Amino acid sequence: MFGYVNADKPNMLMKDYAVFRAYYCGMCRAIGKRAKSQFMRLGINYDITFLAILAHNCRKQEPDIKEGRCAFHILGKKYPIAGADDIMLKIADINTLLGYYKVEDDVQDGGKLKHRIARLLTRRQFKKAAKRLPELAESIKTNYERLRALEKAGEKSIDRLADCFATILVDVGRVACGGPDGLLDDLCYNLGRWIYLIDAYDDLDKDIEEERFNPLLPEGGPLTPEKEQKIADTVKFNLDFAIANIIEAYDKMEVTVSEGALSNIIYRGLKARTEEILSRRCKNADKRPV
Amino acid sequence: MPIRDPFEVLGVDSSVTQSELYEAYKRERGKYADKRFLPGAEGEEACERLDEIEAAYREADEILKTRFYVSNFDNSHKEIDDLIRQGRIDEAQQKLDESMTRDAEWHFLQSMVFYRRKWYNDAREHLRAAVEKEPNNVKYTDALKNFDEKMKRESGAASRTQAYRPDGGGERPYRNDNYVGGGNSNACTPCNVCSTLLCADCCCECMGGDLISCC
Repeated sequence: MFGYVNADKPNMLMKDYAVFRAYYCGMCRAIGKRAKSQFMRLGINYDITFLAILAHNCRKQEPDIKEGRCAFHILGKKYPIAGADDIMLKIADINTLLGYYKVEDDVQDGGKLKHRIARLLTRRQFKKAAKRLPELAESIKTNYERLRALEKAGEKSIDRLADCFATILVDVGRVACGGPDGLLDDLCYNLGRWIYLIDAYDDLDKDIEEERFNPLLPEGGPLTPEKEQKIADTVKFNLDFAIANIIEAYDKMEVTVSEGALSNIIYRGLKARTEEILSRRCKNADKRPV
Repeated sequence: MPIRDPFEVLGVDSSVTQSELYEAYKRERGKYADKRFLPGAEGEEACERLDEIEAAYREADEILKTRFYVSNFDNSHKEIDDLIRQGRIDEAQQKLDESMTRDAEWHFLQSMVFYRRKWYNDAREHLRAAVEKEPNNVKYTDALKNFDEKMKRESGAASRTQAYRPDGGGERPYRNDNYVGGGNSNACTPCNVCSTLLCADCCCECMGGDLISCC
């Protein structure tokens, strides 16, 4: 469920891209610093980059951007990198928690060897992070359990299923950005819905093939063209609606820190990603034997 | 103006529909419309009556609008509606589950509960069910229309980078952005208006004239 929230790079101003990249590199550094292990740095993704920008904005804290080199490209050019402040370190922990429970969920789903290895490798860091953020760890755990129970029961309502993941994101947003805030909750909830649904739609073919549960096709079985169309319509409506709600909440928020990068993701990035995923499946549908 | 029952002023019963009320309003207005141009007391009285009719129509219309929502519910539905308005969603859901009738109003209320919970897909399904059962009820069709058009609504924040706003961009997205030229120098702010006026005054004075006489 990671990597869907991204900037719309073709339509991004260079200055905003520089800021976005600085956060991305900064997050990677913060993870390395927090975990004291280079392995965890592989878990860097664009979603937490977005979360880092959002959190800096909510706390009205400008990032400390300095030029530096990437640890993986020692001979490369220098780039602006956001320094690892408290917010970054906290988000590094959040990322560890989210990553661990995701892998844990995969394992419980009858995961393969690679999932078990990943779980083993991240467990030590997870325990440290869970000690630092016990409430969030508890919330993610219970919500994943709730989700699994609903899936097992063959829940048909995508709203109920998405609610679990959306609740996780609301809690993540509260921990990262500090304190409950109606607009932030709204934004996070709808973002959670959006991520859950787009992920479900993206995995549809894979889930059918491996006979796993998919929220869009709770009864399983092969796809008929009518079913396919109905699912596409439902998904499109719900994704667009979630984006409309995210934009509505964002419009009302006060945005002073790194506004350009944030606006690009909210106004353009989410839409671009939605269209990409929707059209990708349409293309695949043409190739599929009828 | 003496306070009278607005329905009485318009000469109708208080149980009329909105369109009937409008007809009565037009009829009453027509009676005095021409007389108001007459000279003397007769003309003045006609004007007063017209004002009264105008006010009465507005008030009566308001009453009908609010009553439409309230009187449409039978008792159990009214109770649920109140709970939703107070934000007591769980109790409202419980009442809905207990309710035996599954009419259009039930679907509508269920939809409102789901909307409050941000369960938008289910909310829309129930709203559709309500419209299907009573396709002529404006309350349901309007709500469904609002639902579907929410995505098309324009974004309202002006303080964001123009190039990224949903309506922004266009053919040359950077054109209106204040990052070109390092500031919003062409804006029509009060400060700019004043300084331009002062400037023009100086120019006039150089040429022997005067634009602002006091300085």
